[in-house]
Amino acid sequence: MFWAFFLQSLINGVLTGAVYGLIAVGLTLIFGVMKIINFAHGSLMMLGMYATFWAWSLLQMDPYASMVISVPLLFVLGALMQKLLIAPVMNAPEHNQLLLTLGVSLFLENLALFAFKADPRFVQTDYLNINYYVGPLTIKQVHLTAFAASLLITLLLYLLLARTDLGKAIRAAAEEQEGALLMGINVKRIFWISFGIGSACVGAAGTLIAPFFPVDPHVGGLFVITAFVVVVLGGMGSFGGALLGGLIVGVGESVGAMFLPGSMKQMVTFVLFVLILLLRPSGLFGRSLRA
Amino acid sequence: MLELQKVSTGYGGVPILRDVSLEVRQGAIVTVVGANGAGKTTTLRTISGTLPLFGGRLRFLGEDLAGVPAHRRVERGLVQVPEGRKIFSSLTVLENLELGSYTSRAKARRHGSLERVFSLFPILKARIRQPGSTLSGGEQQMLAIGRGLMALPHLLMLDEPSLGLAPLIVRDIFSIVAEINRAGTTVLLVEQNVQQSLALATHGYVLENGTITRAGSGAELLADPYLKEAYLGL
Repeated sequence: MFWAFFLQSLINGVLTGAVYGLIAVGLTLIFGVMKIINFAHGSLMMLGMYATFWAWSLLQMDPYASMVISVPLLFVLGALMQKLLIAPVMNAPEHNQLLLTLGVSLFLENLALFAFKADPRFVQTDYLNINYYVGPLTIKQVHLTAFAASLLITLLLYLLLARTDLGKAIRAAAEEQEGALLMGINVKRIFWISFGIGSACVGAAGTLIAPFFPVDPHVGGLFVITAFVVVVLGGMGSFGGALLGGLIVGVGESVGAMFLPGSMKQMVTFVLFVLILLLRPSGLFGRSLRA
Repeated sequence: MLELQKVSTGYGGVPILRDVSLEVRQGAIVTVVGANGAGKTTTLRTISGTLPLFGGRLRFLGEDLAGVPAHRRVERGLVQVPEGRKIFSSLTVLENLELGSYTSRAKARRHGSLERVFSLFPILKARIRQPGSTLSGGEQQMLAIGRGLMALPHLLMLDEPSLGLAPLIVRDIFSIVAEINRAGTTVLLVEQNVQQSLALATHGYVLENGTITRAGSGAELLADPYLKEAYLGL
């Protein structure tokens, strides 16, 4: 009986973990390329969730189909944010950049609060009622779709980075900016493209969880913290680390929820965070800490 | 092909180069020699556009480079092989070379360029899938030069290719630079290694504390008594 329960938590953790991985992969791309700690990442996800909600509510769109809105929208928002707000402060001290992205997240949160009001919104679709039964386990359709789509998007992103000239240029600019410029790579353009891609990832993640997670203006704050733990756990700038970190955090949270009451399950995440920083600050796959 | 007219530049308001004028004619190997801190890398950075001018003019292929961003200068054929190689260590040899031909003009001829680079540097073909970080210093320098060639340069600028390399390897690198020049690429070579670079060059300039103090043909400068004493220890 316990084992069935444990296995269920494990499965749920893996399913959520893939979504955490997608969110983290977007964040780690932004950090890897621009060395920017983007606190607005969660707020962007919140906007993606709202885009899906409104597409479903006003246009009767299938929430998953609304990806065609949320992904390009978030790409453009991310690119604009980089071009207009971040680019001017790229050479400023890091804590200033951090404060800027924090400011953007506060702005976006309160803008959403003002425009959409505080009441949580729910995307109610029939998908919520579909469950798969494997032995003693129950797997919900909405979780499974989120899991599979997250993995697919992450794979596509990996292929972009590994196989295309643009992806190689992004990796090059992340490692050695001046060298990249000398190849004829327009590094400024690579920056806003990367920020756009990272934001598009988190927008997609928002669309994928909207069918089962309440949409409200403050949801960003919850996810950005988890995303940071995942990125630090996996190693800042490491793609594989972000994925693996996502799974670890997902499982940790889910299994933790078995033993800890209510929202205390997040304690597992934070304990993990502190342990990593104490024992292996560069994360599982991270490069060594910058001075 | 390339002209610097009274170029002044520096970092954060501190001037490093003062009124530097020099010229690189088509087909030549021009060398700029100087000690550490003379301003050699600064000169190349200014030409490439990664460092802005305080004053003066830069002309390449008859056109003023003012307002032309660094990545566009590469498209025009003004290619730098940077100091310390600045290769992408986490990318493979092949990926580094592919990125060398990132511009559309170079990309069209990528396959042919790769063949050429591999025939010049067979060791790179042997290490084609290895990450840049696993190469030795000499191999990394070859990769950096190969990468520069992939961009189809009209003018290839090299920043201290001999730095940190064993003398035998330096000799190999210099003879390859000569071969590249013979095949039709104009070369601007910036170096601390005065002897070998002046022996290679058609023309040379001596840079000291941000200004040009001597100019002449390679042979003239090699015979110059001041240079012999100050730089060659003779």
